[in-house]
Amino acid sequence: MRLRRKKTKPAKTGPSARLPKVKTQELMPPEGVPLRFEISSLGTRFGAQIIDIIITVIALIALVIFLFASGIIPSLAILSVGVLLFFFIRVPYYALSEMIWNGQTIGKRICRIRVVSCTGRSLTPHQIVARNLMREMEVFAPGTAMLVATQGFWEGLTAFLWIAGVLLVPIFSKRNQRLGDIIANTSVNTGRMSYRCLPNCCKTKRQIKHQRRIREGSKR
Amino acid sequence: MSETATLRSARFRQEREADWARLGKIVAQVERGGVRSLNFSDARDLAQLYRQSLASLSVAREISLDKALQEYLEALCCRAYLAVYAPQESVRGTVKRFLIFDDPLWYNTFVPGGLQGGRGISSSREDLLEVIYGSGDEGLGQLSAFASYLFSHNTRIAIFAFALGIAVCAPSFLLCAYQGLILGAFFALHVDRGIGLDLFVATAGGFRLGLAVLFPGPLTRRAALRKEGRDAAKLAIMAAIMLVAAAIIEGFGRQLVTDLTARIAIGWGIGLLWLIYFMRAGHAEKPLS
Repeated sequence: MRLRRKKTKPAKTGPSARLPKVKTQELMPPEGVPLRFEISSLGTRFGAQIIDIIITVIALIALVIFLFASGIIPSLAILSVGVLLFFFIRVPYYALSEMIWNGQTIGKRICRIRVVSCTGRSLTPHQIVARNLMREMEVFAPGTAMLVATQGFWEGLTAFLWIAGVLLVPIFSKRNQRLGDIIANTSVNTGRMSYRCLPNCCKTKRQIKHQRRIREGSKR
Repeated sequence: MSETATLRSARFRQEREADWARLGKIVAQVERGGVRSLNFSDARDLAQLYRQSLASLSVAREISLDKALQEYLEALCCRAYLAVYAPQESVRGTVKRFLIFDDPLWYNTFVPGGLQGGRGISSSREDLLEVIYGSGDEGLGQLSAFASYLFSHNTRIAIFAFALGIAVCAPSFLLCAYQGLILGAFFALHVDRGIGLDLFVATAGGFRLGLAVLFPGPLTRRAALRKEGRDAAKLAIMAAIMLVAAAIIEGFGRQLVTDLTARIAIGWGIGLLWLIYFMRAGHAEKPLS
């Protein structure tokens, strides 16, 4: 697919080809000048979520190995303790890191996205906690349902409907909000703005590329 | 004509460029190390420079200068906004405020009471699940691990009850009823007040969300959700904390109280204490004296 597209449409160099369509959102800060934020794509958010899961699982494995080696827990109980610990690690992980790093977990930091309050004020602890409690239902419940083999038709159907419902909400949401975001009145935006620089002051390759894109866009 | 335009644009930029660059530097430092890493003068200037660049942004939008310049300002202002409006509460402060929404002394007297007295509060639960999972109670280590497993199960159900409530109440209510059935069946043998109450708390939270979806009233569905979410999240966390307390009791003191009547008395006592806690929770407006 990729190759063919390149062959057939080499001439398309306009702004529509270069600049990807981004959803934007306007927030009204108390200062009264609306700010335009770019809403993160669902793929990026998915990536950040995967990274976060990997991080928490690594922490979990390290802890379990430590506990196992030190002989505090018997080998029989290792699975149950693991389940408990995973729960204990992941629930505070998201809430605390988003609180400390201004709406970013480590995964979000790597993917350069962040949670922003739609109120135009700072994120409140309540917003952070609410959106992360809903994660339990939207991410981890379907996740475990997929990992654990289900028995029976109805169980499978319920799991399927659940997963489908949870996935459809952010796809059809205007600001790519998942249920937790809607409750907390937050949205996840790109923080990928730091490479924009003053015209004629660009230093990095990325900045220069962005400048060129804008110039070509405004000529049309 | 075009020459004057460029001149004007150039002047606009020339007058303000130093401030923008300074703001950009400060914001970059905040992004790396947080507001605390700023020195005094930078911290002082951050808010002022932010407002200045917002003003330049609105000017740039009005008179449509260079597109690249406008984009730069948009990005700069967004970043500065995030630096200025970062969450301002510390984690510790939040936790404190959440727990002690009433008389702090009262809370302090409550916790040791719960730890000392409530050994039997959850033993029924354990017995119950021992029946379900068919695991005997040999050995303390295995048992406490098992208790912790039960606890994670309980807490998950509590948070689930909250999260599910949004799906139009029904699952939340069913879950509650289902747990109630199990509890009811074993009620004569084991009084399990503590955990039953937790579930009701979490379900109450979820229920409010569900009600908001069903009967939005004068608000839009979305706004109603948000409004109810405030209390519901608090209720869910409260339930989780109650379950932690229950797990501590379960893990440590299960073996010590074996007398059935003592267990029942303690279970009801703890339930009563939780009830008092919640009934007092609404009166936080009064200043502490």
